[in-house]
Amino acid sequence: MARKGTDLVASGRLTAESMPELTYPLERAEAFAREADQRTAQRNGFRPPSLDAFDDLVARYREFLVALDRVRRERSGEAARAALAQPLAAVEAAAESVRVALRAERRL
Amino acid sequence: MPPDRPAAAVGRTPENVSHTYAKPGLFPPIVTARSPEGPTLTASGIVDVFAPPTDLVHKWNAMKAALRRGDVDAALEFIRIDSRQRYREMFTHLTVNLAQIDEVLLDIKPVRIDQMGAEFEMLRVEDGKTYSYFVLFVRDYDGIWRVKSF
Repeated sequence: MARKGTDLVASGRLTAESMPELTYPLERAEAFAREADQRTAQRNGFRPPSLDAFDDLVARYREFLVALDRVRRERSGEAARAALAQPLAAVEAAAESVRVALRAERRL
Repeated sequence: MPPDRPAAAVGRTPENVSHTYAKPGLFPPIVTARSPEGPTLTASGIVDVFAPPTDLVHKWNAMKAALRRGDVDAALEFIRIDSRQRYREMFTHLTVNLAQIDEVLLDIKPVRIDQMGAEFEMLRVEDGKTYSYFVLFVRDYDGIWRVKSF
């Protein structure tokens, strides 16, 4: 979704009406994180490392959306893509950390 | 809330007590634990029994039909209550004539439906490229599924 958001801004196709497509996955991820926290409490505090990595991914994606909402109003084209490169890279790195943690836990 | 408090769900341990609800909705079950030696304990809660909605494509088409005849108020009935003002402005400032709304709002296909929302996509070809537009339905305050965004 972060890559799609970057492409939409760079191509000038992102509007305020497009934002729910990008914010809805964040809502779902936050709901999942809340449920995972509840399950952690029910399991005597055991929390798999992948959940911490997931929390970090959610935080990076949230930051990405803030940056995207700002950039879409200030820039376009390749300048917009360049402005979003760092937040996008942070999301991709966090996503990879989740995958690594899930593989270590044999969940992926 | 429909009453659905079965007396038949009885077990000797909590793991043995279960009940399957016959229809979707919000239910207020009451669980009573009785010990041969001690007092009874009672707990209550809310159970949300979910069934995937099956009429969302129909609602989408009904919203389009209302727009096609220029009835914005009727179209807004299919929009989530909190989003109506925003969509009222959008519907009244569309650059296309409402009679030609089918050129802008096409058919939708389900992508994923669960308790949080029903995601659909609307495919539209523009300048030779196919674009996927996101259409999201959610359960509104009154429990009715309506369009949150598209």
